[in-house]
Order: sequence, then structure tokens, then C-alpha cells
Amino acid sequence: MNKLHGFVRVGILVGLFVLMLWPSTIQAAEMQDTLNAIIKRGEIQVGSFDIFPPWGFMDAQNNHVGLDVDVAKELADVLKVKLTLVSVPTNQDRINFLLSGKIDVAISNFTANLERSKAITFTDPYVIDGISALYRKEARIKSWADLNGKRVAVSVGSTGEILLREQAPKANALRFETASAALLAVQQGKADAMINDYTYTVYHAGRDPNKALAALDQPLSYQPYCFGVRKFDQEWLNYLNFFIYRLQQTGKMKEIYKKWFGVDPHRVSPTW
Amino acid sequence: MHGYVLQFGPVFQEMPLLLRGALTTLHISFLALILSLMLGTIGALCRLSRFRWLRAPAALYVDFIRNTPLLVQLFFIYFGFGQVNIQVPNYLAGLLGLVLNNGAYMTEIVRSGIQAIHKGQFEAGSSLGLSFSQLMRYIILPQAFRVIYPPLCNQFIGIILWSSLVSIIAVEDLGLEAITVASTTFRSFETYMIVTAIYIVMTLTISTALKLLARRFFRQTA
Amino acid sequence: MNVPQYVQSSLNRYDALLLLQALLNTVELCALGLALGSLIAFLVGLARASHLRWLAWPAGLYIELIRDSPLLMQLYVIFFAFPLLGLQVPVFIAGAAVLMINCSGFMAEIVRAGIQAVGKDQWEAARGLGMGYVKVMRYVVLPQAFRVMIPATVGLLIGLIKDSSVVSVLSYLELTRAGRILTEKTYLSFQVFGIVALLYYCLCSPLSRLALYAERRLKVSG
Repeated sequence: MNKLHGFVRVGILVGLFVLMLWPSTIQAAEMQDTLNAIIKRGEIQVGSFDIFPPWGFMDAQNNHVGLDVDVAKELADVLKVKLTLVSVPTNQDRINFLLSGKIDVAISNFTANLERSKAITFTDPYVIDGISALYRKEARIKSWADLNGKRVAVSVGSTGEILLREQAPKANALRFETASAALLAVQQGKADAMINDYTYTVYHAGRDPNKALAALDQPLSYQPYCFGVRKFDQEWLNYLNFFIYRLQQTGKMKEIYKKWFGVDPHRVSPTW
Repeated sequence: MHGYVLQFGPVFQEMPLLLRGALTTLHISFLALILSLMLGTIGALCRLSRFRWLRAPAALYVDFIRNTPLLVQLFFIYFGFGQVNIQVPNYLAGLLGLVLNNGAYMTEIVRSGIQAIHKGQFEAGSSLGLSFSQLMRYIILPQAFRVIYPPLCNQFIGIILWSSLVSIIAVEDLGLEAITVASTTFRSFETYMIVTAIYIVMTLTISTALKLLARRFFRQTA
Repeated sequence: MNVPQYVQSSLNRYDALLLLQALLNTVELCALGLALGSLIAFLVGLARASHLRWLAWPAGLYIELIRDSPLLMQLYVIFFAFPLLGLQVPVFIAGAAVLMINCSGFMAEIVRAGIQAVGKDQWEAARGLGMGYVKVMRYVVLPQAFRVMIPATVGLLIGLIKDSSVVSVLSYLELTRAGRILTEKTYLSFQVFGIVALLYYCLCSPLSRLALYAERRLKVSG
């Protein structure tokens, strides 16, 4: 068996070097036409979270509901196609599922930033949210500086994680794969605070049965939520941008937002 | 997939981060090995004991652990206990999960090792007037150790591989660094291929080293 | 902000239905993984046991790679490999694929051990009667090999059911993922993961007893 081990190790190292020096192309880049593909198929596949209330989660009857789900339903109605909701497990899977064609569009409280824009394309914002902190009342967090030295739960690959590293480098970060796990950590007292989207923090501060959590009144920074689509998909991007504009112009977005949050949404500047 | 070019370069740039995670994996695995071997020895002695009040709980423990998944055990220790206000920090929870899980398998391994020792050894020892613990310490367990060495090495490899699950409860090991690098470079396939290769290199190196150790130390006695 | 409150304070019957559905999904996933995995394992195991080096060596490499890498990493590599091959597969297929490949790696060793457990004299006797390779395998070697393989295979199935909990990192609704969804809704991690652990126990424990029974029965007649 020893000889086999030696061969295997050498073989793997050689293989790794070959792969590293191999800048191959799998397929040439081509223009996408998701819009027509959806219409022809009669079905749209939308990626949303299923453990991120109130944007995408399971209700008491275990139906997949949420703000993003309502937006997706609206989109499917407008296109007159069937809606298939695809559950996205982690933050970076939004990008992975898009790139691999599992979903046609990602409507999942997706913060647009420049890094992600290198891999996929974002539409115009449909909601302006922000990054904020959900904290245990005794921790008394008011700003980024207060997080230094505290245990802060974040989800890997999220905007919150990136900002925490920049703004509070001395914070003791607990990095979970999903926001749901990070939330549980704060709720149980394993972390003093959690950094995530502003609407999420406010929603969960009120939701704690022990009433031990609080959220900041104002976000620490503002972030746009957009739909995510693949690159080279201009027609689909144009369609979705116009759809978002119509959502806001007709007041439908305000109606959906108020249903889940009880207040009016933050004003999004129109691009049309 | 359209326009996807395999590029390993960005992942290799993050190698220091991955290696730091590998170090965490190694030390949590090593600690888990030592502690679960200790737990396993106690468990084996309990299972072989005359007293029913020692035998039954040990058997129950082994049965329950071996029929439930490690991931669920980890969630139960970290989040489950947290709900009833027993707070276990994440590294400790990961270690505890690995120790309890492998302790059950170690119990069976050590038990079969002890049972493999010829009964004559026990009788000879006790006729020489040795107490039970002296008998165990100087005669039985050293011989049992040699018998169980191969499955023990296998179990150590298993611990290293299954330790990747502690990344799900935020322990900064190789698994979590893999997810981090995948999300910052957007190169998921390449990252996981390289991380898998790192795991393979670790396990092969360690298992070869353990085999060489065996040859050196177990050659002397019959 | 006037936020409509939504907390579920205890598990309801919809949650029980979810767990039941997840249980069935887990069984389905493991059955498919075992079925396809065994087919591959047979081919690989036969190759590994063969005298032809160009067959035995790649088979050995395949088995080593699977046994020396973590299941979680295998899952990610396979999951991200599909789109690179231009295939869009539902998560069920991706999960079943990794279980199949992992199972085939470990089972190939069981097949090899079973074949090699059949004494050489059986081979020579059959050859002496003028039987070709296929006939020898089919009528002489494999039936005897099965007796050795069956207890180990039942053990493998138990391991497979536990391994399926790792598939929860994808979004396939198997038992552990159902646990995570319910924990999100209710914050009751202790109860939820306790119930999930018990459900896994109910799946695996009867199989454990079956393995012991099979081992005992098949040994006596051998």
C-alpha cells in the first residue's frame, strides 16, 4: 500500500501543476436570451432564500413566502408564466446558481456591489436597505467602533461580513454559512451582535421571544437591493429594469413592502 | 456553462489563508484523537465491566452515537444546548462533538483490542498478585494498543476528514476558509478542488508517517 | 417600525409533515445512492481484485481518492462540476451523485475483500473443471463472496444514511435541512435537533441489528 500512496501523491501534485498552468476555456462566451427562453418554456425559475425572514422563509404551513416571493409572483404574473421558486442555501449560491443556469433571476435581498458585479449583472435597485446591527441589549451597540472587541456573528460572503472587516477589524467575528445560524448565535447569547441587512435586524429584534435583542434605529450604511442576472443578457436586464420601475411607479412595491414591514419603503430614485 | 474559464491562479493567491485553516483542522483533529482515545478506553472498560450499571450506559452511549450523524450531534451540542442556556463556544463545541462521536467508535476498537488479548495474560497477571489497574496498565493495554494500531490510524484519518463539518458551526478550519475563498474569488470549483487536494495530501502524509512509526516501534516484540 | 410579529412558539402538525416528507426524501436519496453506488463498486472492486495492473492501479487510485477526502468537499466539487460539464441538475441528483460516488469508493473495498476472501483453491478447482472467467465468477466466487460482503454492506448503508445529513448544505429537503428550517421558524433547536437525531436513530438502529444478525448467521454456516 505504501507504493500506491507514493504514486498517488506524486500523481496529484503533477495534476495540480497541470491544472494551474492550464488557462483553458470551457465554452466561448455567447449572448443570452433568457427572456425569450422563459416565455417559450412558460416557466420562470427564481432563486430566493428559504431561511431569511421576512424576505424569503417558510411560514407556519411551511409554504415558501416572503417579500421577495411576492415580488417574484408579480414578475411571473406580468410575464404570464408559471413561477418556480428555487431555494438558495447560502449567499454565494445566488451567484453560483445564476452562473450554472439553475435560476433565471436571483430575487433574494441581493445587495449590489462592485465585486459581485464582476461575476454577474445587477438590475436597478428595487429596495434601498442598509447594513445594521442586531445586538443583545446589554451590549449597547451604537456604531461600528462599539463592535471592536465584541463577538459579532456574520454570514460568510455577505456585505455585512465585508463591512465588518473594514470598519471594525478588532471585532471577534463568528462566521457562519447562513444568516439563520448567525441569528441563532445572537439569540442564544453566543454572540453579542450580528451584522446583516437593516430590515432583517429590525424584524428579528421584535421577533425574539425572550425580548433580549435590539436593533439600531438607522442603518450604519445604505445598500441597494437589486435582482441578479447573468452577464451578456441585455434584453432580460432591460425588461427587469422596466419591471422594477413599473413596480415603484404603480405603488405595487410600496404595497408589498408595507405588507411585510408595516411602514413605507425608503425612497428609491427612479432611473426612467 | 457559458464563458467560464477555469482559473486556479486566484485561488493559489489565497493559499496562506487556506493553510491557516489547515493548521486549525490539524490541531482540532489531534486534540480530538487524544481525548476520544481516552474516552474510548474508559468506555471499553465500562463495557467489559462486571457491573451492569457501568455496562448498560456505555452500550447505550455507543449505540446512540453510532446511529446518528455527526452533523446533527454538532448542531445539538452547539445550538441545542444553547437553547437551554448551556453555552458552549464554537471551537469547544466542535471538539466536544468530535470527541463524543469518535469516542463511541474508539470504545468498540479498544474493546475488541482488549478482547483479543489471550485470556492467559489476565490469569497470569492476577496470579502474580497484580491489581486490576496494574494489570491493565502494564500488561493488557500495551498489548491491546499494538493490536488496535491499524484501526486507530484509520480512525485518526476519519477524524481529520470529518472535522470539516465543524466549519458549519463557525470554527475557522480548512472547510470554512474554503467557503471564504470561494466567495471572494467567485471560483467555487477550483477552490474546492484545491482544498480537497490539501486534505488528501494531509491524510496521505499522516497515514504514511503512522505506518513508518509502526514499523519502527512494533518490530521489537513478537 | 411597526413590524408584524411572526414567531412560532411550538412545533405544529405542518412541521411534523415536513419532517415526514424529509424522512422519505432521505430514504429515497440513500436508496438511489446505494443502488447506483453498488453497481459502480462492483466494477471497481472487480478491477481492484484483478491481476491485471492496468485495471487494478486506476481502480486503487479511485478508491484512495474517495477514502482520503472529506465528504463535504466531495459534495462541493461534484456540485460545482455539473455546470462546468454543461449539465443542469436538480439538487436531488447532485446529492445522489455524491452519495453514489462516496458509496462506490468504500463498497469497492468490500467487494475486493469479499472476492479475495474466497480461497485460491476454489479458483483453481473451477478452472480445472474448464470454466471460463465469467462462469467462475458467477457460479463459484461471487456467491461465496456475497456472504462476506453482506454484513459490511449493511454497515455501509448505515454510514450512507448518516452521510446524507451532509447533503443539507445544498437545498435538498432531507432530514437535517428540515431541522434547520424548523429551527429558523421556531428557535427550538433542542427539541428540533433532538427529534431529528431520534429519527435518524430509528432509521439506522434496525439496520445495525440486522448487520449483527447477518454477521452471526452467515458466519456459522461458513
